[in-house]
Amino acid sequence: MSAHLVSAYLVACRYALLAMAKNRLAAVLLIAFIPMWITVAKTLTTPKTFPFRLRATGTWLRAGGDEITMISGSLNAVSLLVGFLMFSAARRTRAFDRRLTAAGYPRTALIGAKLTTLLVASVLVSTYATAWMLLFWSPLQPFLLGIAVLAVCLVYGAMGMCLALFLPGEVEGLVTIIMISIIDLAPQNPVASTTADKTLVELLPSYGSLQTSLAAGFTRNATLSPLLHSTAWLTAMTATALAAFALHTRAHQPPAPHHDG
Amino acid sequence: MKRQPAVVLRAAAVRKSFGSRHVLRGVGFEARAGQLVGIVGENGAGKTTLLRILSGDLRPDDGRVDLVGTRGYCPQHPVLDEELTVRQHLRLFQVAYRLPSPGRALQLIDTLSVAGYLDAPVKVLSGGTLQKLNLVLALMHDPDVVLLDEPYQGFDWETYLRFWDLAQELKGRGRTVIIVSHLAHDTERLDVLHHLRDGLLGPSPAAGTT
Repeated sequence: MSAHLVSAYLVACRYALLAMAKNRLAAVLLIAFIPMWITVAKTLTTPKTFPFRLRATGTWLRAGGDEITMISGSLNAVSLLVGFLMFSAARRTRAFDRRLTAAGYPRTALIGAKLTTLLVASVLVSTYATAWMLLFWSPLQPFLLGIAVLAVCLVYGAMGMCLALFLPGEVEGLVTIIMISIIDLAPQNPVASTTADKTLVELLPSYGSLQTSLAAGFTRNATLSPLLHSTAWLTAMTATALAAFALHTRAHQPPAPHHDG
Repeated sequence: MKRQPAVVLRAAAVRKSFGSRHVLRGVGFEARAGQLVGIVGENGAGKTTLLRILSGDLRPDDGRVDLVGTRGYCPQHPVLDEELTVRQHLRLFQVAYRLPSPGRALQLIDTLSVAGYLDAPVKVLSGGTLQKLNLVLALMHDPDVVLLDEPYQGFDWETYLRFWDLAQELKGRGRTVIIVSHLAHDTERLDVLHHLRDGLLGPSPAAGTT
Protein backbone atom coordinates (compact mmCIF):
# COMPACT_ATOMS: atom_id res chain seq x y z
CA MET A 1 0.00 0.00 0.00
CA SER A 2 1.39 3.39 -0.94
CA ALA A 3 2.21 6.04 1.63
CA HIS A 4 -0.27 8.33 -0.10
CA LEU A 5 -3.09 5.84 0.35
CA VAL A 6 -2.26 5.36 4.03
CA SER A 7 -2.15 9.08 4.63
CA ALA A 8 -5.41 9.54 2.69
CA TYR A 9 -7.04 6.85 4.83
CA LEU A 10 -5.79 8.39 8.08
CA VAL A 11 -6.97 11.89 7.17
CA ALA A 12 -10.40 10.64 6.03
CA CYS A 13 -10.75 8.51 9.15
CA ARG A 14 -9.82 11.31 11.52
CA TYR A 15 -12.29 13.74 9.97
CA ALA A 16 -15.08 11.16 9.72
CA LEU A 17 -14.72 10.33 13.42
CA LEU A 18 -14.46 14.01 14.41
CA ALA A 19 -17.60 14.82 12.42
CA MET A 20 -19.45 11.89 13.96
CA ALA A 21 -18.47 12.99 17.45
CA LYS A 22 -20.24 16.29 16.74
CA ASN A 23 -23.59 14.55 16.24
CA ARG A 24 -25.23 15.98 19.36
CA LEU A 25 -28.53 14.15 19.08
CA ALA A 26 -26.72 10.82 18.87
CA ALA A 27 -24.56 11.75 21.88
CA VAL A 28 -27.64 12.61 23.97
CA LEU A 29 -29.35 9.39 22.90
CA LEU A 30 -26.24 7.41 23.81
CA ILE A 31 -25.69 8.97 27.22
CA ALA A 32 -29.32 9.23 28.33
CA PHE A 33 -31.51 6.97 26.24
CA ILE A 34 -29.58 3.70 26.56
CA PRO A 35 -29.32 3.68 30.38
CA MET A 36 -32.92 4.87 30.62
CA TRP A 37 -34.17 2.05 28.41
CA ILE A 38 -32.17 -0.54 30.36
CA THR A 39 -33.31 0.84 33.73
CA VAL A 40 -36.96 0.98 32.70
CA ALA A 41 -36.87 -2.53 31.24
CA LYS A 42 -35.18 -3.98 34.29
CA THR A 43 -37.20 -2.19 36.97
CA LEU A 44 -40.67 -1.87 35.48
CA THR A 45 -41.18 -5.27 33.89
CA THR A 46 -41.98 -8.46 35.75
CA PRO A 47 -39.16 -10.55 37.22
CA LYS A 48 -41.48 -13.58 36.94
CA THR A 49 -39.74 -16.31 34.95
CA PHE A 50 -41.03 -17.59 31.63
CA PRO A 51 -40.16 -20.77 29.79
CA PHE A 52 -39.02 -20.28 26.21
CA ARG A 53 -37.30 -22.31 23.56
CA LEU A 54 -33.92 -21.04 22.38
CA ARG A 55 -34.33 -21.57 18.69
CA ALA A 56 -30.60 -21.65 17.98
CA THR A 57 -30.06 -24.78 20.09
CA GLY A 58 -33.60 -26.11 20.52
CA THR A 59 -33.22 -26.16 24.30
CA TRP A 60 -35.89 -24.92 26.70
CA LEU A 61 -34.79 -22.21 29.12
CA ARG A 62 -36.41 -20.17 31.88
CA ALA A 63 -35.60 -16.54 32.41
CA GLY A 64 -37.02 -13.48 34.15
CA GLY A 65 -39.31 -11.32 32.05
CA ASP A 66 -37.33 -8.28 33.18
CA GLU A 67 -34.06 -9.73 31.93
CA ILE A 68 -35.50 -10.77 28.59
CA THR A 69 -37.08 -7.35 28.14
CA MET A 70 -33.80 -5.69 29.06
CA ILE A 71 -31.89 -7.71 26.43
CA SER A 72 -34.44 -7.03 23.77
CA GLY A 73 -34.71 -3.35 24.76
CA SER A 74 -30.94 -2.85 24.72
CA LEU A 75 -30.60 -4.41 21.30
CA ASN A 76 -33.39 -2.13 20.15
CA ALA A 77 -31.76 1.00 21.60
CA VAL A 78 -28.25 0.35 20.26
CA SER A 79 -29.47 -0.60 16.81
CA LEU A 80 -31.48 2.62 16.54
CA LEU A 81 -28.54 4.68 17.69
CA VAL A 82 -25.84 3.22 15.44
CA GLY A 83 -28.28 3.01 12.53
CA PHE A 84 -29.08 6.70 12.92
CA LEU A 85 -25.41 7.68 13.35
CA MET A 86 -24.28 5.91 10.21
CA PHE A 87 -27.32 7.03 8.23
CA SER A 88 -26.74 10.62 9.12
CA ALA A 89 -22.99 10.48 8.31
CA ALA A 90 -23.55 8.75 4.96
CA ARG A 91 -26.29 11.17 3.95
CA ARG A 92 -24.24 14.22 4.93
CA THR A 93 -21.17 13.23 2.91
CA ARG A 94 -22.93 11.81 -0.18
CA ALA A 95 -22.33 14.73 -2.56
CA PHE A 96 -19.06 15.72 -0.92
CA ASP A 97 -17.55 12.23 -1.35
CA ARG A 98 -18.38 12.47 -5.02
CA ARG A 99 -16.58 15.78 -5.34
CA LEU A 100 -13.58 14.52 -3.35
CA THR A 101 -13.16 11.38 -5.44
CA ALA A 102 -13.60 13.35 -8.66
CA ALA A 103 -10.73 15.55 -7.46
CA GLY A 104 -8.59 12.44 -7.05
CA TYR A 105 -9.15 11.29 -3.48
CA PRO A 106 -8.57 7.51 -3.38
CA ARG A 107 -11.93 5.77 -3.09
CA THR A 108 -10.44 2.88 -1.14
CA ALA A 109 -9.28 5.35 1.51
CA LEU A 110 -12.81 6.73 1.86
CA ILE A 111 -14.30 3.23 1.97
CA GLY A 112 -11.74 2.25 4.61
CA ALA A 113 -12.65 5.32 6.64
CA LYS A 114 -16.37 4.49 6.43
CA LEU A 115 -15.82 0.93 7.60
CA THR A 116 -13.57 2.13 10.41
CA THR A 117 -16.23 4.62 11.52
CA LEU A 118 -18.83 1.84 11.53
CA LEU A 119 -16.55 -0.36 13.62
CA VAL A 120 -15.56 2.39 16.07
CA ALA A 121 -19.17 3.55 16.57
CA SER A 122 -20.36 -0.03 17.04
CA VAL A 123 -17.62 -0.94 19.51
CA LEU A 124 -18.19 2.24 21.57
CA VAL A 125 -21.97 1.96 21.69
CA SER A 126 -22.03 -1.79 22.34
CA THR A 127 -19.41 -1.58 25.09
CA TYR A 128 -21.33 1.23 26.77
CA ALA A 129 -24.68 -0.57 26.56
CA THR A 130 -23.24 -3.90 27.70
CA ALA A 131 -21.59 -2.18 30.68
CA TRP A 132 -24.98 -0.73 31.70
CA MET A 133 -26.63 -4.15 31.43
CA LEU A 134 -23.92 -5.69 33.59
CA LEU A 135 -24.71 -3.15 36.33
CA PHE A 136 -28.17 -4.69 36.68
CA TRP A 137 -27.58 -8.27 35.81
CA SER A 138 -24.93 -11.03 35.76
CA PRO A 139 -25.24 -13.00 32.53
CA LEU A 140 -23.48 -16.38 32.44
CA GLN A 141 -21.26 -15.28 29.53
CA PRO A 142 -20.80 -11.49 29.62
CA PHE A 143 -18.23 -11.43 26.82
CA LEU A 144 -20.53 -13.30 24.45
CA LEU A 145 -23.29 -10.85 25.38
CA GLY A 146 -21.00 -7.99 24.34
CA ILE A 147 -20.30 -9.68 21.00
CA ALA A 148 -24.03 -10.12 20.37
CA VAL A 149 -24.67 -6.43 21.06
CA LEU A 150 -21.73 -5.48 18.82
CA ALA A 151 -23.18 -7.61 16.02
CA VAL A 152 -26.54 -5.84 16.06
CA CYS A 153 -24.76 -2.45 16.08
CA LEU A 154 -22.75 -3.42 12.99
CA VAL A 155 -25.83 -4.75 11.15
CA TYR A 156 -27.90 -1.63 11.83
CA GLY A 157 -24.97 0.69 11.14
CA ALA A 158 -24.51 -0.88 7.71
CA MET A 159 -28.28 -0.70 7.22
CA GLY A 160 -28.15 3.03 8.00
CA MET A 161 -25.49 3.46 5.31
CA CYS A 162 -27.74 1.61 2.85
CA LEU A 163 -30.83 3.65 3.69
CA ALA A 164 -28.88 6.86 3.09
CA LEU A 165 -28.70 5.85 -0.57
CA PHE A 166 -32.33 6.55 -1.26
CA LEU A 167 -33.86 8.41 1.69
CA PRO A 168 -33.53 12.17 1.37
CA GLY A 169 -33.78 13.52 4.90
CA GLU A 170 -32.66 12.80 8.45
CA VAL A 171 -36.26 12.49 9.68
CA GLU A 172 -37.14 9.95 6.98
CA GLY A 173 -34.07 7.93 7.89
CA LEU A 174 -34.75 7.98 11.61
CA VAL A 175 -38.41 6.98 11.22
CA THR A 176 -37.52 4.17 8.81
CA ILE A 177 -34.84 2.79 11.13
CA ILE A 178 -37.28 2.89 14.07
CA MET A 179 -39.97 1.07 12.06
CA ILE A 180 -37.54 -1.59 10.85
CA SER A 181 -36.23 -2.12 14.35
CA ILE A 182 -39.79 -2.54 15.74
CA ILE A 183 -40.77 -5.00 13.01
CA ASP A 184 -37.48 -6.80 13.55
CA LEU A 185 -37.49 -7.24 17.33
CA ALA A 186 -41.16 -7.41 18.34
CA PRO A 187 -42.00 -10.80 16.79
CA GLN A 188 -38.83 -12.33 18.22
CA ASN A 189 -39.35 -11.41 21.85
CA PRO A 190 -39.70 -14.72 23.69
CA VAL A 191 -41.98 -13.12 26.33
CA ALA A 192 -44.38 -11.68 23.81
CA SER A 193 -44.39 -14.80 21.72
CA THR A 194 -43.31 -18.11 23.17
CA THR A 195 -43.91 -19.66 19.77
CA ALA A 196 -41.35 -17.40 18.14
CA ASP A 197 -39.81 -20.26 16.30
CA LYS A 198 -41.10 -19.89 12.80
CA THR A 199 -38.47 -20.08 10.08
CA LEU A 200 -39.27 -16.53 9.01
CA VAL A 201 -37.98 -15.27 12.35
CA GLU A 202 -34.52 -16.53 11.45
CA LEU A 203 -34.41 -14.11 8.55
CA LEU A 204 -34.80 -11.01 10.71
CA PRO A 205 -31.71 -8.76 11.01
CA SER A 206 -31.41 -8.98 14.78
CA TYR A 207 -32.13 -12.73 15.00
CA GLY A 208 -28.45 -13.60 15.44
CA SER A 209 -27.88 -11.04 18.16
CA LEU A 210 -31.02 -11.86 20.15
CA GLN A 211 -30.38 -15.61 20.09
CA THR A 212 -26.74 -15.11 21.05
CA SER A 213 -27.66 -12.69 23.84
CA LEU A 214 -30.19 -15.16 25.28
CA ALA A 215 -27.63 -17.96 25.04
CA ALA A 216 -25.02 -15.72 26.68
CA GLY A 217 -27.40 -14.77 29.45
CA PHE A 218 -28.88 -18.10 30.39
CA THR A 219 -26.61 -20.91 29.15
CA ARG A 220 -22.96 -21.84 29.41
CA ASN A 221 -22.79 -22.95 25.79
CA ALA A 222 -20.76 -20.82 23.44
CA THR A 223 -23.52 -20.71 20.83
CA LEU A 224 -22.00 -18.92 17.87
CA SER A 225 -24.05 -20.24 14.95
CA PRO A 226 -26.74 -17.48 15.13
CA LEU A 227 -23.98 -14.94 14.60
CA LEU A 228 -23.62 -16.35 11.09
CA HIS A 229 -27.02 -14.79 10.40
CA SER A 230 -25.71 -11.45 11.64
CA THR A 231 -22.62 -11.86 9.48
CA ALA A 232 -24.79 -12.54 6.43
CA TRP A 233 -26.85 -9.40 7.11
CA LEU A 234 -23.73 -7.35 7.73
CA THR A 235 -22.07 -8.58 4.55
CA ALA A 236 -25.16 -7.96 2.42
CA MET A 237 -25.75 -4.47 3.81
CA THR A 238 -22.10 -3.42 3.62
CA ALA A 239 -21.70 -4.80 0.11
CA THR A 240 -24.82 -2.92 -1.05
CA ALA A 241 -23.67 0.34 0.55
CA LEU A 242 -20.15 0.06 -0.87
CA ALA A 243 -21.32 -0.96 -4.35
CA ALA A 244 -23.64 2.03 -4.39
CA PHE A 245 -20.77 4.24 -3.21
CA ALA A 246 -18.55 2.95 -6.02
CA LEU A 247 -21.32 3.56 -8.55
CA HIS A 248 -22.09 7.01 -7.19
CA THR A 249 -18.46 8.16 -7.24
CA ARG A 250 -17.46 6.70 -10.60
CA ALA A 251 -15.87 9.10 -13.03
CA HIS A 252 -17.41 9.48 -16.46
CA GLN A 253 -14.09 10.21 -18.07
CA PRO A 254 -10.61 9.13 -17.20
CA PRO A 255 -8.96 11.85 -15.16
CA ALA A 256 -7.01 14.23 -17.36
CA PRO A 257 -3.33 13.31 -17.45
CA HIS A 258 -0.93 15.58 -15.64
CA HIS A 259 1.58 17.29 -17.78
CA ASP A 260 4.64 19.30 -16.94
CA GLY A 261 4.77 23.03 -17.22
CA MET B 1 2.56 35.45 -37.92
CA LYS B 2 1.85 34.89 -34.26
CA ARG B 3 1.12 31.26 -33.43
CA GLN B 4 -2.22 30.69 -31.76
CA PRO B 5 -2.14 29.04 -28.33
CA ALA B 6 -3.04 25.35 -28.23
CA VAL B 7 -6.61 24.12 -27.93
CA VAL B 8 -6.96 22.65 -24.42
CA LEU B 9 -10.66 21.89 -24.36
CA ARG B 10 -12.78 20.65 -27.21
CA ALA B 11 -16.43 19.62 -27.01
CA ALA B 12 -17.97 18.06 -30.11
CA ALA B 13 -21.62 17.26 -30.82
CA VAL B 14 -22.45 16.87 -27.13
CA ARG B 15 -26.02 15.71 -26.55
CA LYS B 16 -27.88 15.16 -23.33
CA SER B 17 -31.52 14.47 -22.60
CA PHE B 18 -33.38 13.99 -19.36
CA GLY B 19 -36.36 11.87 -20.28
CA SER B 20 -38.13 13.60 -23.15
CA ARG B 21 -36.41 16.91 -22.49
CA HIS B 22 -33.52 17.46 -24.88
CA VAL B 23 -31.26 19.77 -22.93
CA LEU B 24 -28.17 19.73 -25.17
CA ARG B 25 -28.70 19.03 -28.87
CA GLY B 26 -25.20 18.89 -30.30
CA VAL B 27 -23.05 21.42 -28.50
CA GLY B 28 -19.55 22.04 -29.79
CA PHE B 29 -16.85 24.58 -28.98
CA GLU B 30 -13.15 24.96 -28.38
CA ALA B 31 -11.14 26.81 -25.81
CA ARG B 32 -7.48 27.70 -26.04
CA ALA B 33 -4.79 28.13 -23.42
CA GLY B 34 -4.99 31.55 -21.81
CA GLN B 35 -8.59 32.24 -22.81
CA LEU B 36 -11.42 33.49 -20.64
CA VAL B 37 -14.54 31.90 -22.09
CA GLY B 38 -18.07 32.78 -21.06
CA ILE B 39 -21.15 30.66 -21.62
CA VAL B 40 -24.39 32.49 -20.98
CA GLY B 41 -27.98 31.42 -21.26
CA GLU B 42 -31.33 31.75 -19.60
CA ASN B 43 -32.35 29.80 -16.53
CA GLY B 44 -32.81 26.16 -17.46
CA ALA B 45 -30.94 26.54 -20.77
CA GLY B 46 -28.63 23.65 -19.83
CA LYS B 47 -25.53 25.60 -18.78
CA THR B 48 -24.98 23.54 -15.64
CA THR B 49 -25.59 20.31 -17.55
CA LEU B 50 -22.94 21.32 -20.08
CA LEU B 51 -20.44 22.23 -17.38
CA ARG B 52 -21.08 18.98 -15.52
CA ILE B 53 -20.36 17.09 -18.72
CA LEU B 54 -17.15 19.09 -19.30
CA SER B 55 -16.07 18.32 -15.73
CA GLY B 56 -16.71 14.59 -16.11
CA ASP B 57 -19.44 14.69 -13.46
CA LEU B 58 -22.14 13.70 -15.98
CA ARG B 59 -21.98 11.39 -18.97
CA PRO B 60 -23.19 12.82 -22.32
CA ASP B 61 -25.65 10.70 -24.32
CA ASP B 62 -23.55 11.36 -27.39
CA GLY B 63 -20.56 13.41 -28.50
CA ARG B 64 -17.16 13.82 -26.90
CA VAL B 65 -15.11 16.08 -24.71
CA ASP B 66 -11.33 16.28 -24.95
CA LEU B 67 -9.40 18.13 -22.33
CA VAL B 68 -5.64 18.55 -22.12
CA GLY B 69 -4.06 18.92 -18.70
CA THR B 70 -5.64 19.14 -15.28
CA ARG B 71 -9.07 20.48 -14.56
CA GLY B 72 -10.71 22.28 -11.66
CA TYR B 73 -14.48 22.31 -11.27
CA CYS B 74 -16.49 24.70 -9.13
CA PRO B 75 -20.10 23.44 -8.90
CA GLN B 76 -22.99 25.89 -8.83
CA HIS B 77 -23.98 25.07 -5.25
CA PRO B 78 -21.13 24.68 -2.76
CA VAL B 79 -20.50 20.96 -2.25
CA LEU B 80 -18.89 20.81 1.19
CA ASP B 81 -19.06 18.80 4.42
CA GLU B 82 -20.95 20.98 6.89
CA GLU B 83 -19.31 19.37 9.94
CA LEU B 84 -15.74 20.10 8.84
CA THR B 85 -13.82 23.35 9.11
CA VAL B 86 -12.38 25.35 6.21
CA ARG B 87 -8.87 24.12 7.08
CA GLN B 88 -10.04 20.48 7.13
CA HIS B 89 -11.51 20.94 3.65
CA LEU B 90 -8.18 22.29 2.42
CA ARG B 91 -6.38 19.30 3.95
CA LEU B 92 -8.71 16.78 2.27
CA PHE B 93 -8.31 18.41 -1.14
CA GLN B 94 -4.57 18.74 -0.63
CA VAL B 95 -4.55 14.93 -0.35
CA ALA B 96 -6.92 14.56 -3.32
CA TYR B 97 -4.77 16.73 -5.59
CA ARG B 98 -1.54 15.29 -4.11
CA LEU B 99 -0.16 18.73 -3.27
CA PRO B 100 3.01 18.78 -1.18
CA SER B 101 1.86 21.90 0.68
CA PRO B 102 -1.34 23.92 1.13
CA GLY B 103 0.55 27.07 0.08
CA ARG B 104 -1.54 28.05 -2.93
CA ALA B 105 -4.79 27.23 -1.16
CA LEU B 106 -3.85 29.53 1.73
CA GLN B 107 -2.86 32.24 -0.73
CA LEU B 108 -6.31 32.00 -2.39
CA ILE B 109 -7.98 32.00 1.01
CA ASP B 110 -6.12 35.20 1.73
CA THR B 111 -7.01 36.80 -1.61
CA LEU B 112 -10.70 36.04 -1.08
CA SER B 113 -10.62 37.20 2.60
CA VAL B 114 -11.53 33.86 4.14
CA ALA B 115 -8.46 33.69 6.40
CA GLY B 116 -10.51 34.68 9.45
CA TYR B 117 -12.71 31.60 9.05
CA LEU B 118 -10.03 28.93 8.65
CA ASP B 119 -11.02 27.08 11.80
CA ALA B 120 -14.75 27.69 11.61
CA PRO B 121 -17.03 24.77 10.77
CA VAL B 122 -18.57 25.25 7.36
CA LYS B 123 -22.12 25.08 8.73
CA VAL B 124 -21.77 28.47 10.46
CA LEU B 125 -20.42 30.31 7.39
CA SER B 126 -22.44 32.75 5.27
CA GLY B 127 -23.47 31.90 1.71
CA GLY B 128 -20.80 34.14 0.21
CA THR B 129 -18.03 32.59 2.33
CA LEU B 130 -19.19 29.09 1.39
CA GLN B 131 -18.97 30.07 -2.25
CA LYS B 132 -15.43 31.38 -1.72
CA LEU B 133 -14.35 28.06 -0.23
CA ASN B 134 -16.16 26.28 -3.07
CA LEU B 135 -14.03 28.30 -5.50
CA VAL B 136 -10.75 27.79 -3.61
CA LEU B 137 -11.25 24.00 -3.73
CA ALA B 138 -11.52 24.23 -7.53
CA LEU B 139 -8.42 26.41 -7.93
CA MET B 140 -5.98 25.28 -5.24
CA HIS B 141 -4.14 22.79 -7.50
CA ASP B 142 -3.67 25.46 -10.17
CA PRO B 143 -5.43 23.48 -12.90
CA ASP B 144 -4.89 24.07 -16.61
CA VAL B 145 -8.62 24.33 -17.29
CA VAL B 146 -10.97 25.89 -14.75
CA LEU B 147 -14.72 25.23 -15.06
CA LEU B 148 -16.76 27.66 -12.99
CA ASP B 149 -20.54 27.49 -12.61
CA GLU B 150 -21.93 30.88 -11.51
CA PRO B 151 -18.74 31.39 -9.49
CA TYR B 152 -19.48 34.84 -8.02
CA GLN B 153 -22.92 34.15 -6.55
CA GLY B 154 -23.26 35.83 -3.19
CA PHE B 155 -19.98 37.73 -3.50
CA ASP B 156 -19.85 41.30 -2.28
CA TRP B 157 -18.58 43.93 -4.70
CA GLU B 158 -15.00 43.84 -3.39
CA THR B 159 -14.78 40.07 -3.75
CA TYR B 160 -16.43 40.23 -7.15
CA LEU B 161 -13.68 42.55 -8.37
CA ARG B 162 -11.02 40.37 -6.77
CA PHE B 163 -12.52 37.38 -8.55
CA TRP B 164 -11.95 39.08 -11.91
CA ASP B 165 -8.38 39.98 -10.91
CA LEU B 166 -7.87 36.31 -10.12
CA ALA B 167 -9.35 35.29 -13.47
CA GLN B 168 -7.00 37.72 -15.24
CA GLU B 169 -4.04 36.36 -13.28
CA LEU B 170 -4.94 32.79 -14.34
CA LYS B 171 -5.31 33.89 -17.95
CA GLY B 172 -1.95 35.66 -17.76
CA ARG B 173 -0.32 32.39 -16.76
CA GLY B 174 -1.86 30.54 -19.71
CA ARG B 175 -4.71 28.92 -17.83
CA THR B 176 -8.11 28.54 -19.47
CA VAL B 177 -11.14 29.73 -17.53
CA ILE B 178 -14.68 28.74 -18.55
CA ILE B 179 -17.37 30.71 -16.76
CA VAL B 180 -21.03 29.81 -16.93
CA SER B 181 -23.52 32.47 -15.96
CA HIS B 182 -27.14 33.44 -16.49
CA LEU B 183 -26.06 37.07 -16.66
CA ALA B 184 -24.30 38.49 -19.68
CA HIS B 185 -22.79 41.48 -17.91
CA ASP B 186 -19.06 42.06 -17.69
CA THR B 187 -18.71 40.44 -21.08
CA GLU B 188 -15.88 42.85 -21.93
CA ARG B 189 -13.72 40.93 -19.51
CA LEU B 190 -14.08 37.75 -21.59
CA ASP B 191 -12.19 36.71 -24.70
CA VAL B 192 -15.01 34.61 -26.09
CA LEU B 193 -18.69 34.57 -25.26
CA HIS B 194 -21.04 31.77 -26.24
CA HIS B 195 -24.78 31.80 -25.92
CA LEU B 196 -26.56 28.57 -25.06
CA ARG B 197 -30.05 28.56 -26.52
CA ASP B 198 -32.41 25.75 -27.50
CA GLY B 199 -29.73 23.22 -26.66
CA LEU B 200 -27.21 24.68 -29.08
CA LEU B 201 -24.24 26.96 -28.60
CA GLY B 202 -23.94 30.03 -30.75
CA PRO B 203 -21.97 33.25 -30.74
CA SER B 204 -23.56 35.81 -28.51
CA PRO B 205 -24.73 39.05 -30.08
CA ALA B 206 -23.20 40.75 -27.06
CA ALA B 207 -19.75 39.29 -27.67
CA GLY B 208 -17.03 41.87 -27.76
CA THR B 209 -19.40 44.70 -26.91
CA THR B 210 -19.89 46.45 -23.63
